Amino acid sequence: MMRARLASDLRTIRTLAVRSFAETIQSLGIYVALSIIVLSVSLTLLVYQDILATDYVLVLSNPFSLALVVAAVMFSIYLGALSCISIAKEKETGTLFILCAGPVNQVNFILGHLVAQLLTFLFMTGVLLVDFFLMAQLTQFYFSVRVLLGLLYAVFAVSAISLLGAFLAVLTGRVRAGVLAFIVVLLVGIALQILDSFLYNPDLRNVDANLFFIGRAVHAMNAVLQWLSPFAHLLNGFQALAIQNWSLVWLNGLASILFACLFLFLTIRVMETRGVRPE
Amino acid sequence: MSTPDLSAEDCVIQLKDISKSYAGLSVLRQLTLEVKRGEIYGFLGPNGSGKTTTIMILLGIEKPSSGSYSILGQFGRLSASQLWRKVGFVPEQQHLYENNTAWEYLSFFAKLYQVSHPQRIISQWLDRMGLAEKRNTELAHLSNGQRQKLSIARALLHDPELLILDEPVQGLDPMGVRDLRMLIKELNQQGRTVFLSSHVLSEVEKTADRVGILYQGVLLAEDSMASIRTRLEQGTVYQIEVLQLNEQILAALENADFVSTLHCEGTTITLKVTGEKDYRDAISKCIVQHGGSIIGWTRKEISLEEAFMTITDQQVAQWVDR
Repeated sequence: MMRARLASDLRTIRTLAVRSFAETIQSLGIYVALSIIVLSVSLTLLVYQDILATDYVLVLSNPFSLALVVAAVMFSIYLGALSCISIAKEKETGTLFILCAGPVNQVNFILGHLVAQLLTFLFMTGVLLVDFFLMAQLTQFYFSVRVLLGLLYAVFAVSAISLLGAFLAVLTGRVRAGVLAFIVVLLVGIALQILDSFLYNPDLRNVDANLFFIGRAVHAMNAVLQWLSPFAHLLNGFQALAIQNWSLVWLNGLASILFACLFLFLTIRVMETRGVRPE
Repeated sequence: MSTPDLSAEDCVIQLKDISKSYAGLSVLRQLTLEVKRGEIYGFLGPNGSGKTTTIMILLGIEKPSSGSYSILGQFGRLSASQLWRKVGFVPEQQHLYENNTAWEYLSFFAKLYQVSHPQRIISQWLDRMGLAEKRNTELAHLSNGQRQKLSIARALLHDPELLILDEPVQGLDPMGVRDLRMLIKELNQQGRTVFLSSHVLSEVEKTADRVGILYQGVLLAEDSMASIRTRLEQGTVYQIEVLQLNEQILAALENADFVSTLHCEGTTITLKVTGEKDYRDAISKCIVQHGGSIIGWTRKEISLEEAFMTITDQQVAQWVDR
């Protein structure tokens, strides 16, 4: 009985994932996003090559690391927003309600969308690898296995960020509000980082005491954010990969998995509390 | 919450003292009803009476504040109990994937419902619903009636035992309404139980075997169509065509204590008498005594719709209090 139900659930998740993935692949959005990401990454690599040449650097262990970070962050933002839009759209148009009045439950629904996001990530990664390969030919950069490791690691962070998007989608229940909330979360994170880099300065104590204490508060908030934000886990993980600190890689990977589980739980709870009918 | 005792095997839907409130506002009040296997149950009530909420509870989408219920002997979300295999649901609004074609839409649901031989079944339902020519048309370009038919086809793909329809005639033209009525009867003859929720009373009257009338979250009546009509009618309407119709006749009839309403148009008097007693003799004597002669007499059948509309809010409130 349990096995039959599990098989049935897996089939439901697969059907939902294939549908959502096909919709993404058939839309213009993914190709616009891919073009922007590939251009940004290629530009980063070319600029990086110029800087290395200027600094007379002849050997570099992983020349793709910076481009990889740029790509992973852009992938995450795109997939988080995509997750938010697709789930909020299902709620807003009432198709979620129709699904849940049948064989789909909330967990299947969210997991179906998550699998679709991961399939989209794989598709985009494939395109990126082709770009990396071409850039390696153009720049003579060495294409190491660590690029693949980095992309593999990004799967955890992408899952967590996709589920953050899903959480914001069910919380707001509307596409526009969901995307707005996602952008606000991103901007708050970026603003804290920027403020922290400017205000966390011991010399400020002599200039302005108030500013100094604000700087300390921002720094504390940013430190908390480093533990809470899936984006921070992504960046920290990449840094750990660059210095080959495997325990730190695992720690950040684990944090991403934990946050993915937390967002999944919260998303399901919100769906149960607020219902699946369009608002 | 416990499931109610399912003593009768033939009970497909059972609600027992179901109440539901949203933010202190009572939507359903101790609703108790039963739907038997193989019947068409009409769930009547004006908009906002709690019909859709009842259906949401049955489907496990909403949880009742109190009371117990079962659907095919189980309760909770359909997906949790594999009940979705036996239940088809057509909502009030279709909520379709607008950029899908009719074929893609049904294929997706056929996969979800794990339909065997999906292509044959989909073709069959598209043909049955008159949508075969629209199979490759995007759903955004379908008319409201066609969308409703597609929604019904979707609900029937997996050959459910129980079909729950929420306001199914909404948006359908008269032909569509007739087709749907025939389809419901055909499905019922094949052994399916149909739970038909509607505010279009005349439609339910033509289709349902039994009816439950819901008003402000209270089930006012639950019985066969004939019994419900008797209960609602509370009187009889006569249309009498009179020669030499004069003021005296009208005044005499208006003063008769068994006449509740009287309306005159040309030579025709339309009057409603209270109670179940036959007053035809008294009426004819009254007309003849005042110099009139009767040339036509018809007993007007009150449709359920008319009868329902005659119940004023006050009467309903009294019924509720009782």
